[in-house]
Parts: sequence; C-alpha cells; structure tokens
Amino acid sequence: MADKPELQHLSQNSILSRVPSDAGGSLIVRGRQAASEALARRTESVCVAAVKLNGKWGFIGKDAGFLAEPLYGYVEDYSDGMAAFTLEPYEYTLGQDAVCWGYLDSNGKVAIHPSFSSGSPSGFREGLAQVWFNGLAGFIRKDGSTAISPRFSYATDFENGIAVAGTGGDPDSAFCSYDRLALIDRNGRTFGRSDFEIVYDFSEGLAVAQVSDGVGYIDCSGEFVIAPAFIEAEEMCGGFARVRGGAPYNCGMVGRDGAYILDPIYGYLEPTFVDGSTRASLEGFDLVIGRNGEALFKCPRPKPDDQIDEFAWRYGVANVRRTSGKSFYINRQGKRLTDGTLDARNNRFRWGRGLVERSGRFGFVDAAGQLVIDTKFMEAGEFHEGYAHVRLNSHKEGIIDRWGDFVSDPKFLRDEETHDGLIRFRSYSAKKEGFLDDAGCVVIEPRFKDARRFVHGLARIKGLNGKYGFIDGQGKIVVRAQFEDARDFHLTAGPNPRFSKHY
Amino acid sequence: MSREIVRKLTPEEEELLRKREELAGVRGALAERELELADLRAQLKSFEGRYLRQVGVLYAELDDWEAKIAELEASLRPSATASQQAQETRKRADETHEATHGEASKARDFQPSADLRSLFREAAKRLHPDFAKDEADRLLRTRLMAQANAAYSQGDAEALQHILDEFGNSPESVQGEGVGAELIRIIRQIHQAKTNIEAIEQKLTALRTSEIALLRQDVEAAQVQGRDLFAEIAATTREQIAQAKRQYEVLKRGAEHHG
Repeated sequence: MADKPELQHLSQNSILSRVPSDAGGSLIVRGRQAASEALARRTESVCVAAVKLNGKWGFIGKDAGFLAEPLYGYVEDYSDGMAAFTLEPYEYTLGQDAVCWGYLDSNGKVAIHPSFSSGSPSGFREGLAQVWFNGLAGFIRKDGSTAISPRFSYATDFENGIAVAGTGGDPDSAFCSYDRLALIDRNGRTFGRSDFEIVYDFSEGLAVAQVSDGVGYIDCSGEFVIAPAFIEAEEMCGGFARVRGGAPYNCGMVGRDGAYILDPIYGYLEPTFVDGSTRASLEGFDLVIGRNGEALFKCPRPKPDDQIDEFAWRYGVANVRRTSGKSFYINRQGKRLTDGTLDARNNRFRWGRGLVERSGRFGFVDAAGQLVIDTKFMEAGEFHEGYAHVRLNSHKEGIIDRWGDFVSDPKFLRDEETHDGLIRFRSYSAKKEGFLDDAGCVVIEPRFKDARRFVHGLARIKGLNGKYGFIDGQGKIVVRAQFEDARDFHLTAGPNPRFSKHY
Repeated sequence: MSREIVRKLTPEEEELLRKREELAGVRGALAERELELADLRAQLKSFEGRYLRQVGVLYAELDDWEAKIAELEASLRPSATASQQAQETRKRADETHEATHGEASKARDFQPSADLRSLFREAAKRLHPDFAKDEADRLLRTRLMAQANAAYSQGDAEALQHILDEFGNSPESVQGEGVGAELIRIIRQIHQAKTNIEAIEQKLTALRTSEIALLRQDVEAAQVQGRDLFAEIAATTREQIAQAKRQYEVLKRGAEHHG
C-alpha cells in the first residue's frame, strides 16, 4: 500500500520500499533463505505429525496443538522446512490424476499457494522444489519464485547443488521419458557431458553414469573420472565399488581412482564389504574373501554341491548348504559355527535363531553357533515374530519362544529390532498390541487395536474407537485417539514453529 | 486582605484549554511512535549494512563467477539460449555488485545516546507536519522533519539542535489567532495526529515483518545459541565460490584442450 503523501517524509529510501525483485531486496531474501537453511541444519528441529480430522489433513506437535489446522486435502511430510499440500482430496496411487500443490512453511502457514500441477508432490531439497508446467520440469524457491524455468522432460532433486536433468523424449509417455541426461546447477545450466543415458545418485562424491560406450563414474564436474569401461557398476561404498566388466563379464572391485582392488575374476561378488569380508564365487566355488581377495573360507566342493546362501546381514551368519553331507553355519570371517554333529537345515537366520537337526530331531542355534534350544523336536519351523511352531512328539505341539519354552499366551513380536528401546508385540489372548523392552519385559500393556513403532519418542496407536493417537515410552497417551488417519512424527527442519493451543 | 480579580473563562476558552492539553498528550504519543519508527529503521539500516559487508560481498563474488561460467559456456557452445543465459547471469551479477557496494552497505552501527533520543522526541513534537496551521507551514515542517530523521539516523545531535533552533526562529512558529479558529485547528490537529499514530503502527508492523527484520530475528535467535549466522552463511558461500571457481577452471581447461 502506498504511503499517504504527508507520510512520505518518513519513508524516503526506506527499507520498506524494497521489493524482492530489486537487487538489494533479492539479496536480503537470499540471505533469509541461507539463514533458514543454516538454522535448519543446526537447530534442533521440532517434531510434527500429519493427521487427518474430519476428512482434512493438518500437522500437530507432540503436545502443543496444531502447527497447521486440518484444512487440506492432503499434506506431505516436511522436507527442508516446507511441506507440500493440496486442497483437493488426494491419495497417492500410480497414475494419479494431477492436482494442484502448494507449500506450507515451518510455521504451518501457507508460503506458496497451490499452483503447481502434478500427480505426486515434490518436496524441497536445498531450497528448491521441482515443479511441472505443461509437461516440463522446473524448480521454484521457497518464496515461490522461479529458480529454473520449466524446460526439462526429467529432473531429479538437487543434492549438493547438483541435479540430473533430461531433455527430449516422448511428451505423451505415461512414464519418464527423455533422450539424454546431463547435470545441472542451481541456475539450471547444464555442465559436463550431456549424453548420459542413466545417472545414478552421487555416493562418496562419485555417481555411476551410463553412456553408449558403457558404465563408469563421474564426479561433480559431470565428466568421467573412471572411464565408462564396465557393463555394470554399483555405487561407491567405503571407497570401493563392485563393477562387472571384461569377458566373460566377471565381477571385481574398484577404488575411487578406478584401479582394481579385487581383479574382475569373480563370477559373483557381493556389492560391499561388511566387517572386512564379503561373499564371492570363483571358478565355480563359493567362498568368503577378505579385502585383499584372500580366501577366508572356501567351500570344499564346487557349486551346486556346496554353496553359501545369502548372509543374514543382521546377524552376520550364512548357511553353507550342501547337497550331500551336513550343511553348517559360518560367520563373516569364514569361521564354521556348527560342528559336524549338527545339520543346518535352514537357509535363513531369523530372529537370531538358526534351525539345526541332529539325529532326526530339531533344535536352534544362536548367531555364535551355540545350541540354545536343544534338538528335541520332531518338527520345527523357522522363527517368525519371535516364535516358532514346533512338534515335540505325537501328543504335544505348540509355540516356543526364542529360549525354547512353550508359551500358552505368546507375545508376537512385530519387529526384529527395538525402536527407542522398545519393541512392539501382539498379545495372542488379548488380540491387542503393546510394547516390550530389550529384556522382554512388558513396558506397555497390550491395549491398542493397532500400534506402530516408536519414532522420535512417540508411537502411533489405533484406539478402540478406530481413531489414531500417540503414546509416549511409558504408554501414556499424549495425543488422544481422535484422528481418522495419522503418520509418524518427523522433523520439520524449521526453527521456532508456533503451535495453536488445542488439537 | 487583597482581592484578585480573575476573569471568568468563556466556554470556548475552557474547551480550548482542554483541547490544548489533549493535543499536548497526542503530540507526546506521536513523538514516541516517531522515535520508535526512526530507531527501528536506523537499526535495520545498520543491520543491512553489516549484512551487505559480511555476506553480500560474497554473493557478489559468487554471482560474478556464475556469470563468468555462463559466458564461457556461451562461447564454447554458442546458441541463442546460452547467450541469453549468459546475459541474464551477468545482469544479476552486476545488480548484486551494485546493491552490495551501494549506499546501503555504508550504514554503520546505530547506538543513539539518551540526549539524541530526547532531542529527536522534542523535534517530532514540535516539527511534525500534523501540527501545521496552514499549507506553507506544512511544507516547512515536512522539510525539517525529513532533515531531523536524517540527522537522527546519522547520530548528529548538533544538526538536530540546529533544525530545532531554525524552526524556533521561523515566523511560522509564532501563534496568534482567534479562540474559535484555534479551537478548530487544534481539533483537526488532534484528529490528524491520531490517524498518523495508527499509520505509524502499521508501518512498524510492516517493518517488523519485512525480510530484513526477519533476517535480523534469525541472526539474533542464533546469537542467543552462541552462533554467528553471518559467519555460517559466509562459510557456505565461500564453499560455493570455490566450487564455481573449480567449475570455471574445468571448463577453461576443456576449452584449451579442444583448442
């Protein structure tokens, strides 16, 4: 609003007269964005959860009321301090009709009115969000201004100031279609090679990229630093990457300089080293090798007589399966965990237990190979939700826990890992869900129709009324079950949000 | 026992006295708001100067490198789009440079003394255009008030005193009119001043929610946590400058390699 004439003496050269399109004004907006990003990086963000009430979505805080009143057809979780929303009813499905998206700021206020049409929301990353106009992708800033005008048929989100963008392709295609890809900077300028067919995400400063010659690695200049001489390549992990190349397409490992750390001689190689070893296949034999290719364990007989099943990653245990003779378990260092009296019958370690057989009876070993449940069962299945179904003899069958005790009222564990020190279980008798601690003690009695794992100190529960709320680690209801739908708490990545007083 | 003969005031004269008192109160309130506005504006101006000197100059450098990259790219791969991009990027770099090195960047710290604040308050009470008796008086007051604002923001007490003296000596400041006319003038002045106070409140609100004020709020909030947000932004921008330089060098090497 223009000043009244008599007030102009107060506002000459005023900061107020600046608009963001002025060089000085836009510099300040730029500083504000940088400040928001810096604060978001370092400030402890506030937890919020998306909830649906009376058919509309909004955001609540842990115990501080609404950050955004439930006024929206749908809200996406916060990303980079902004949350996409639409006023139209929306549910993500493949081929969803386009709806108009806008953005809420970290205070839950509308920062950008719905004006970007897309089948799915795009969150902010590094201060920019991808938006689509007439089938072309561009990017906007947090103030809604255009950072990169829509001109790409394909684009990824920005990461470390770089995105991948494509041009050409079939504009009528229902799927992503482009001719060639290149890297772009935050101004939308392409740089480096512009003839990529595929560019994967950057990992440890390098990205796998494919051109017509083959697959190699590019750095942030968009140029190959490891020549595209491979048929396949995996992302860098710990300074190494698995590649496949050369006749007859064997696997090897390369370092960041492209030199082979493990020569391409392996018919199979797992993509990463874990605890200094990995699983490989060489000249028809399965083996566990160390970082220098040294064999830590080699199956005595070639495949398929002896073969190593996939490692149970969580427990570092693999099953050496044999077509004749007794199968056994080994660890990542190739050490045999079970002796010749036990036959490892299960190819998967579940819930920290592996099935073994001795003289026609079944029991279970732990990840150290110790027999923790004696071989006394006529039949046994693998562990599931913390329990296994067994038959002791022709008269007795039932469910045992991980220590081999029959349980009449099992507490079925819903996750293999604890979250915030708690693990969900479902009571067989109560048919409701509660939480145990690490020692297996009931911390929160089973009284919820449905419960989810703890995230940021709160777990989503479904009350007996069929509505959703949240409980804390002591089982205290901190958000009453009143919402038709709710998602887990997450961080807004925005400083000092202001909540309304009530839910 | 002496007897003093006191003339009884007419109802108009009594009303005039009341209105003069009310006007004095409104003048005081208006002067306080003016002072608040002048303070906030000067503080933001000073903050903006610091921002431009510490961070703005780095943005100017970054934009310059971005422009150099765009220009080099346009020369390596000539096309209408590349040329347009190069021009746009250069324009932005020039604008940033101008904004960063302009008058706003020269604003220094603003720490007004109690005397200066008192002088300004007095100036706002006496000079404000709302209290002009006619159009000529309004023009004079508008000019002097603008000078007073400038003197205050520069912390120049001497200049402020000079402005007050100048006004005090001007024939326009001499009052002298009939009761009825003065009553009407004062009522109008009170109304005008109240309207003006509301307008200043709006301006204060707008200033407090302006981008520069919000940036200052962020910086101050971070400061409470022991952080220097300007230093953090500057560090990030320096990294971006280094990255842009590398990108420029890669392009340049590529250009030399391909002749």
